[in-house]
Amino acid sequence: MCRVSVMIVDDNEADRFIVRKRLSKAGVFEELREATNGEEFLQKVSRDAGELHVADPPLVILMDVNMPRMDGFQTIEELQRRVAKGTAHACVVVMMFTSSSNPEDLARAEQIDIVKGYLHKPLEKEGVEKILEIYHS
Amino acid sequence: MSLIEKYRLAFGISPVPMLLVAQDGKILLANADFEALFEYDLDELTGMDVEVLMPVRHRNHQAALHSAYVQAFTQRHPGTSRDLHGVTKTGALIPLELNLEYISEGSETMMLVVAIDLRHRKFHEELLHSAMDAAASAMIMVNERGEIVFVNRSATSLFGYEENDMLGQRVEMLVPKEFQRVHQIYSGNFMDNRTARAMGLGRDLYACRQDGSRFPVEIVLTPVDAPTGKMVMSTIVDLTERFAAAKAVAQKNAELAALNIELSHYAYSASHDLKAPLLSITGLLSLSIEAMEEGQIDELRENLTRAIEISRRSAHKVEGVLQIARVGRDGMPKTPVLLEPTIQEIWLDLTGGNSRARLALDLRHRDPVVTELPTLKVIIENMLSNALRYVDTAKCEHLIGITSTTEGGHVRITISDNGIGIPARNVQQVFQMFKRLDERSGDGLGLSLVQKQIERLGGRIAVESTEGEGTRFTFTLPSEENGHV
Repeated sequence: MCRVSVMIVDDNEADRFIVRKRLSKAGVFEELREATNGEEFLQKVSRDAGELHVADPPLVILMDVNMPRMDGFQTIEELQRRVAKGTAHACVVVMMFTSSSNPEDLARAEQIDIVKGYLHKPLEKEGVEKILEIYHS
Repeated sequence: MSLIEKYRLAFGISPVPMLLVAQDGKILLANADFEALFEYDLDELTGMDVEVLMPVRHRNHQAALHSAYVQAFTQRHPGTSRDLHGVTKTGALIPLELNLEYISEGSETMMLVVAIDLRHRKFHEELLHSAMDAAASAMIMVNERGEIVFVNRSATSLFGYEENDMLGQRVEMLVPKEFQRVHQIYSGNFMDNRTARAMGLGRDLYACRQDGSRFPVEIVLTPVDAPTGKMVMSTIVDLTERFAAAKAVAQKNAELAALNIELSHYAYSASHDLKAPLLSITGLLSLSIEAMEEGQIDELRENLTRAIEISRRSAHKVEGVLQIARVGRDGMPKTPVLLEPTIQEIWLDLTGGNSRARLALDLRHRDPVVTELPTLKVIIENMLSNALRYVDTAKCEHLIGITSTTEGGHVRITISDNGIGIPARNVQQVFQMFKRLDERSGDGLGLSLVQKQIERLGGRIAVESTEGEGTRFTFTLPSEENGHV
């Protein structure tokens, strides 16, 4: 069975560490890709970067909401613009990954087509199962 | 019966003082009321020159006086154009209203004079005027032709004119130029439909001072039907202070409303900032239990170490807020503080000694600064952590510079960086409480507290910034115990 590729976009080092541990323990994921802010993420998913290939299976994105300068939602909007222009990798499954329980954030996430899920921090076993469930659907 | 005899009968029953004068000015007849008014005994006046009853200044100018009296008579407004006075036997001056009539009988012409004592009316007028002078509101009486016929003292001081510069002038002199035309139309309408009312309902009214400056006013118009015609009394209240006060209150309200919104944002983000590390710790502890159950001692140690580190940092952060609160409340003793070791210690605390940012010190103020050490630490720590937080990743090196110079009894410290800078629209807001200008902001308290502390210590702080180039904070502190001499 093909391993699942995940990229986390989060400025919090501890939270990236926890996700890294959780995914590696699950045993069905590729090594976690990491970006510490929106700009770094957009750089990594751009077609020019050559990190991703059209033939690759879908990439799961765990997107933090509260980040410096460009928050998770702004980053997603920019991603959509770049996908539309064809300058960013299009085959992605985005899930919001946040400690926020703000209903506004949740409602906002539901409005965005490419956002397929909403995960609460910290990532536990149940969260990992949810990632796989959403990925396979 | 001679003419005089005919009149004697009428004079006898007249309730008002009357006089009959011959063409040569000799008094032919006076009634009892007239003689009593001028303090003469019965029949004493008969045969005397009428000039005796006139003020000295008018004697020997009979022709001029005569014409003035005639004019007064023909106008039928005696007293309005000229104050007329009579002189009594004892030399007292009596204000009079005179009515004159020529009577001809054959070749003889005589003048019939009816005199009305105005002393009571004058007394009441003066009483009224002094009452109006005592009023706090400006009062201006305008006649039917739109001319000012009375102003009280408040009016002259409000408009900056002398009384005589206003009397007889058109009331439009007090109206700003662009409203003068409409004012004439409005006042015409008012004269046609006279009821007491506030002027210019629903419009902001402005009046114009002698020096051309204008000010907001409230005006109440009251119609007054005087014997001399239809008048309007305007009561004018200067609203300048009321306007300024209302404006100040509105501004304060807006500030409070904005602060309230900021405060709720702050409460929200502060709790988020406290929640995030707790959730990280939860995740690490849950991984730790699994590692323990699996016997993975190394992993267990790593997870716990990380959890401890996050706890320590969070406690430190909370302690910082507490410290600021304490300092802000009490103040504390001042001690001599050496800048360099203090700055190095803070730098180490903030970076753990492994930051990619480079700190350059140029400290020319060599003497210790006598100040509150914990407060100075909070100030420098806030500014250094801002400088570290707003790093510009597009630049190959992140530079932070601190300089100090001596200025009189003050030390001037600058902290500059080559970070992302502050957009011009935000520069002046950085010192506002609870203002988090972007997601990288801390708790939104930092710079507002820094500013308050510096001002409490007797110094000042300023910020300059260019977006994309960097930011420079400059602050001063008194460097000696008693500040500058």
